[in-house]
Amino acid sequence: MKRILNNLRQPRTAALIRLVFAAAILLAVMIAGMACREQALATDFTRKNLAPCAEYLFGTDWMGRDMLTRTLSGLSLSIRIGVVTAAVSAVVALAAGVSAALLGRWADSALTWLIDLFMGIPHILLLVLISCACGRGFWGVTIGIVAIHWMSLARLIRGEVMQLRQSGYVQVARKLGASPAAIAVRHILPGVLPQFFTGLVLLFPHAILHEASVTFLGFGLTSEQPAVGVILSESMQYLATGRWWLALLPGICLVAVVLLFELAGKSLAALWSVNAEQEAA
Amino acid sequence: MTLEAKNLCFTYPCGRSVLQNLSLRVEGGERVGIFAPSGRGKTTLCKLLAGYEKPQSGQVLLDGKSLASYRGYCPVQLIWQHPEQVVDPRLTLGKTLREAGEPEERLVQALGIQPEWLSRYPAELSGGELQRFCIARALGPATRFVLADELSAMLDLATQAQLWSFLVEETTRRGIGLVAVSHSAPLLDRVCTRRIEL
Repeated sequence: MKRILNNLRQPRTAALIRLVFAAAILLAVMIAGMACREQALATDFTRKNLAPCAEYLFGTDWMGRDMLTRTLSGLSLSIRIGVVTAAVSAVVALAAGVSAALLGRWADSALTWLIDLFMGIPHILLLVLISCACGRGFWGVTIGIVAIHWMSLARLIRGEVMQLRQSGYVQVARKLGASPAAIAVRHILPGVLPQFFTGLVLLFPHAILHEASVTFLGFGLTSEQPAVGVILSESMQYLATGRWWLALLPGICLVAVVLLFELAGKSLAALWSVNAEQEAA
Repeated sequence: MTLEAKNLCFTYPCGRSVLQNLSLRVEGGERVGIFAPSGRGKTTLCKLLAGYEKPQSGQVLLDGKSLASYRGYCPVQLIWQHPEQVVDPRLTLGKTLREAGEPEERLVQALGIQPEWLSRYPAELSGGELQRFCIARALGPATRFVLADELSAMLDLATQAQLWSFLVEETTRRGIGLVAVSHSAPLLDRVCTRRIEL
């Protein structure tokens, strides 16, 4: 028993538990939301405008749709979009950052210029434009979010690789005859992976919130999809008449999902870092 | 083999010049001590001789060929003053040791490297323990010259004596040229066959 308790106090174990906890809830929400999509769309005018009660925990809306299933399937869609966009933009960022730092001065100038260009345009404007140009819906939102999220991580990774390239152990590895590819795999990529994973997971909340915002503004997912952005924008008309549950409960759930992703990201970074134990001690 | 520096000049990016027209010739099997007080460019000279830095003018030749023209494993290996800067903190020391190919068992034993150190990370070992790994790694089969830049400055006397006597024995046996840098003249007199002052 004592050994188990001691083990739990180890920073690595604690980080692993937090990671599994966050990932399990997110996965459960994603699957539950996909399973109850049908119910989320079902209308029943005999039960409309019910406040939260034992039978309908999140209440029902003006068309008698169950808000709990609508919220779940909206969050599920958000999580799926978040996973796809964060993963793709993090990979784009890793490729851009590493090649800027390793391919020489010309590639570096070109990529830095591109990063500055994308950062110079207001994000939400670019997202609306790209989403509309790609025909809105799932793919419009996904492509738009990827396009506006890779730059800051790319810049971070470029700086990190530049620094690692100057480090003593990389210089020595070159003198020991290691090829550039071997140095990149053995010394440089493992060095940027903690930043990569922290960056990747910190992209989730951004991606999910941007998805909700662009949908809320009416340029993202279409209104027949039970997305959180759709739920929030539709409920605006009913807030004034006192139906607070329509916006509040889905809003809180969205924030909870964002926080869970952040928890998962930090635990992952802690697990990866060699010095996690010394830092936590 | 011969390691030769011809009219080396080096100026730091800030504009301060440290080496002017320095020439130096080291034969294989010879042990040359370079003695100078702090700030005279001892470390810079080592980095130039091992090809880590390029001189503004002059050249470094190995057997009459420019050192920069040697591809792959560099026959001139530098043992750095601060071992903790030249081992990857994310690799176990066993992997660090194998960066220069499979290490000779004899070297590992003579340097007093304990088998249990191989599975540890650099943060878990002391500077002297790390320096043994750096020495073993620098003494790969293709090494012809070793530059030791203050390699023992932070070690206790017993460890210093052990490492230096190992280096003298090993370089003599293999005909490797040794350039030892220090600001301790008595140490250089004990170790080296001749001494140069910067």
